[in-house]
Amino acid sequence: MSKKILIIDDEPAMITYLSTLLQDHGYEAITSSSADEGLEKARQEGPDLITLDLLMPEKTGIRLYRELKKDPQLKGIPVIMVTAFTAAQHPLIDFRKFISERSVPAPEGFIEKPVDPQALLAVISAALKEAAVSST
Amino acid sequence: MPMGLPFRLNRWSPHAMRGLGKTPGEGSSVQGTPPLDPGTIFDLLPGYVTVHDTGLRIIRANRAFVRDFGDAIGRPCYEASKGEGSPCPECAMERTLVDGRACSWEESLRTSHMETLHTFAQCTPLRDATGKIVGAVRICSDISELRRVQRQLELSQQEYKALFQGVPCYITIQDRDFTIIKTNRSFEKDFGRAIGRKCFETYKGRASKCETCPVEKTFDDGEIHFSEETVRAKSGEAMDMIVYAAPVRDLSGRIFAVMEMSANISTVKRLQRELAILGQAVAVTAHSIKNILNGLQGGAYVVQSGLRRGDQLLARRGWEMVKESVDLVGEFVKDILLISKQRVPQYEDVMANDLARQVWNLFEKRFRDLGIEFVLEPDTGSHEAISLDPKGIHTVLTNLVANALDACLEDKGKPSHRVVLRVSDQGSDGVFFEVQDDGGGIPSSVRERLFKEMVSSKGSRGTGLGLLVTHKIVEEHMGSLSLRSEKDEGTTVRVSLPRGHLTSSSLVQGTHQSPRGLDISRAGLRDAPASRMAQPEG
Repeated sequence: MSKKILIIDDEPAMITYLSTLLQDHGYEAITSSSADEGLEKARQEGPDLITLDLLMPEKTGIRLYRELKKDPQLKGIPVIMVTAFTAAQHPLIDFRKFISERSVPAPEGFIEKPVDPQALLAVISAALKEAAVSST
Repeated sequence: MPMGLPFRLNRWSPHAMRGLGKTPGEGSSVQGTPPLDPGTIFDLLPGYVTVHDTGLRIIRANRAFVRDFGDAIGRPCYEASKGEGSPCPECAMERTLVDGRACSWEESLRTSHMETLHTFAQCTPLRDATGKIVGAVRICSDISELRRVQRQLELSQQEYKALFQGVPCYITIQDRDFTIIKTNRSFEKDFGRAIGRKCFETYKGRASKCETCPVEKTFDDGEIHFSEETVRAKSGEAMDMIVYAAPVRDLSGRIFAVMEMSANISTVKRLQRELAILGQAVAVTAHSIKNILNGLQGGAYVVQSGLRRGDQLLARRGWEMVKESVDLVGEFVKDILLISKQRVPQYEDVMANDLARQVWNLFEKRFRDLGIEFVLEPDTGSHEAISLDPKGIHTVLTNLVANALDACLEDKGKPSHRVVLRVSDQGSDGVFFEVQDDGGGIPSSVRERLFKEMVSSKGSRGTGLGLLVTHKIVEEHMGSLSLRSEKDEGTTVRVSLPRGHLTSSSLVQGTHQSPRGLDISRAGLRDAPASRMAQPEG
């Protein structure tokens, strides 16, 4: 059975791109265009992995990430953060700060825009394997 | 003894000999030392010693005088020691010869080598046995060296004063209570007469000392301290200053005052702000390029995948993504050019209402096609022209209206939407333009980022440079931007442009310089600079 991946991004173009890419490589892609809807979908669908856009208008990817990792039902789902920002370029979004927050572990992966398909697939595959090992 | 003297010096009365040494046989000599002839003593006296008769003629002169002024016996003093043909206008010796009182004065003498000597002269009357004044003794001490040193001191004091007064920064000397006890010319010119006033009161109109006062620190530890302050000149102009405080000590080393030296760094601060904006522009550019690349790459992938799957719809969707990204490249390049070019604003006296109507005309059809109401609310009061760069402000309003339109399109929560473009003439305070939408509002998290960092929340649909362009143009006009936004209720952006900072008469065609330079006319901006417009009201 193919792995189910939830894509949370406010950009329709990005959703199209990622879902096409993931479907082409044998994943089932489900999508959500906002953080709140994404949280709801994660609860309903129980995806194997989530790709999460960092910058969204309503609620940032960082806030949603914290909520996901503090939710007992969802915290085991690996999350790949997708962003055009790097910490060096954009000190406002302080990655270190939220990574160092003890109650929340670091995300399972980071992918920078423009998204390199092979790199994304490799990160997803590694995160899924890691999750499989830790669940056994 | 010189010839022709009416009497011998050592035959004078003891009165006359007083002060010249002892005569032989008078009193006892120091043991083992042969008694000295009074004439010898007279000759050896330091300085120039001359004895005059009542007609001012020299009847005796010591060796030093003869050496420097020649044989002057029988010649009047003014001729022998000054080369003059008649007595000095107020001759002190003449007075002594009349009133019998000793006196002293400063006098310039001219030697036989034509050298001028500054001397300190003392004159004492000579009396015979009956007490009658028969002549006078004049002793002149050469004080030329002293006068030279004095002159040098005066010169260096003048130099110090000229430096203090002329140095192109503001200097005050303050006591321990921050009372100004001395100021230089630059200070007085721009801050007025302030002797006796408090520093904080004069510079800032404050009632108490500033938190960061460097003068206080210097009084405390005797070291040099500095701080950056924003002060206000008597003209009302705000100035960014770097302020140095240095101790002024008395001879015992005690600090009795502090010298505060302030330099106007408004231009540097302006450049600093512009550099910060440039830095943001670079960051935004990098971010935007990544987004565009992402759109192109994603679009190309989706096209390829659609073709491979035989899914025309997917391929078409991918093609749309590519096209959107290509369009974005065009807009992006235009914005970059707007920001990076040394664009010289072309100021004209324009009617704010006319400018707003042009923008309304540009968008009206588009709004109508999309079923969104677009209302123009011109100012109904005075119709006075304002000096601005019409192209620049047109771009600002176009950006803001386009943003408002996007906000309405993105807000799916309401059946209909309305955007208002408003003009309000504030008289001497200037003019403001407002663009109000009833879209979903900008969430506070984005709002803060939006104005601090000038980033786009539109992802691949925006470059993030629109706001930067808007910001740059408004700042060029020395105006300010403010934003009010409520979730689900909409957003209002106000562009306030001052009137009178540039009048038609003060404008040099094609330049943006006021007569006193750009940096100094920012007084109105101090409290709400466009670069710090991120103070959401709502």
